[in-house]
Amino acid sequence: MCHGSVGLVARALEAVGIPTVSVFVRAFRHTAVQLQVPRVLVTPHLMGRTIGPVGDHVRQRQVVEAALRLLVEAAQPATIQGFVPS
Amino acid sequence: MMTFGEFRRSFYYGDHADMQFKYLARMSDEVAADTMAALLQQLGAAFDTGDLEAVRRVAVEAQVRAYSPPEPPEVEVDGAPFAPLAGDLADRRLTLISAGGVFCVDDDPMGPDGPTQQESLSLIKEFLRGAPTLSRIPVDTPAQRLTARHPGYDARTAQRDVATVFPLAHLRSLAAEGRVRLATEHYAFTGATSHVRLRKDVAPRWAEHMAAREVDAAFLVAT
Repeated sequence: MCHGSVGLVARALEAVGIPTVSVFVRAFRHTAVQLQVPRVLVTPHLMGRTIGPVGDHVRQRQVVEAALRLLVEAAQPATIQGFVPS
Repeated sequence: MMTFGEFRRSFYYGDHADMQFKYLARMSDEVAADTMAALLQQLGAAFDTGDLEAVRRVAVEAQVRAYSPPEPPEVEVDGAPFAPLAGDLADRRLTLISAGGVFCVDDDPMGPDGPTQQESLSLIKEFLRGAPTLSRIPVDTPAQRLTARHPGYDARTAQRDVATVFPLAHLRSLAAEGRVRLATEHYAFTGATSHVRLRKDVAPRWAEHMAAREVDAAFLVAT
């Protein structure tokens, strides 16, 4: 449900010219396909911990940086990329 | 006497309502039993090792199995809007938008007597019928002034560490290093909401608001 909501907001923003990157968890990767969400980073985390586990600031920062790279580098619509922990 | 089927379904807004394990209701009895046995087995090992990573992996795989469609997903919309990022990210005003129900502790979108996280679970149908409210969060808001409530996931996680769904502090660090430029205002809403209202009215209105505030790019977080 929430992933679909984010997809709809991302599409609306892109429609007025604002580029977006969205972070999803794996369990809802399919929603990114169904809604053709512009740029999606998919993390291997539990629902409700999309950016990373509680207190794991290193992982959280890695996810934020990976999402920003995707925002810059994605060259086509509906680009879905899996987050690979370093 | 409660059957096993009734037990696993009770995690979905029932007597054992638990947003961390509500996916058990989507499984067959057999798959739910295997999942619970695997979780308990790894939990037992964690008593000795102190390492919860294996428990976490079992839970993630169970969520993926429960929510993923049996067939490859098909596109359900027309078109794929795509606005290229113009220029250097360090020169563009970036805003954060989370669907995790985050808000400032003194600005509850449901009023000063808004429901607690636990109370919100009983309101799930009202949330899903209604239109979401956009909470505005100034860029310099410290994490201690933020909280979260959401009837679709266990927002106690975000109450413990809001960066799990609203990484504003990490973005501020990157801004301090000159790697990004942040907008003055950031946003959150409760993603458990009416998709019809969101698509037809609310999301386009939010987009116009952000465009008017000269937002150049957006970082969205689903929960």
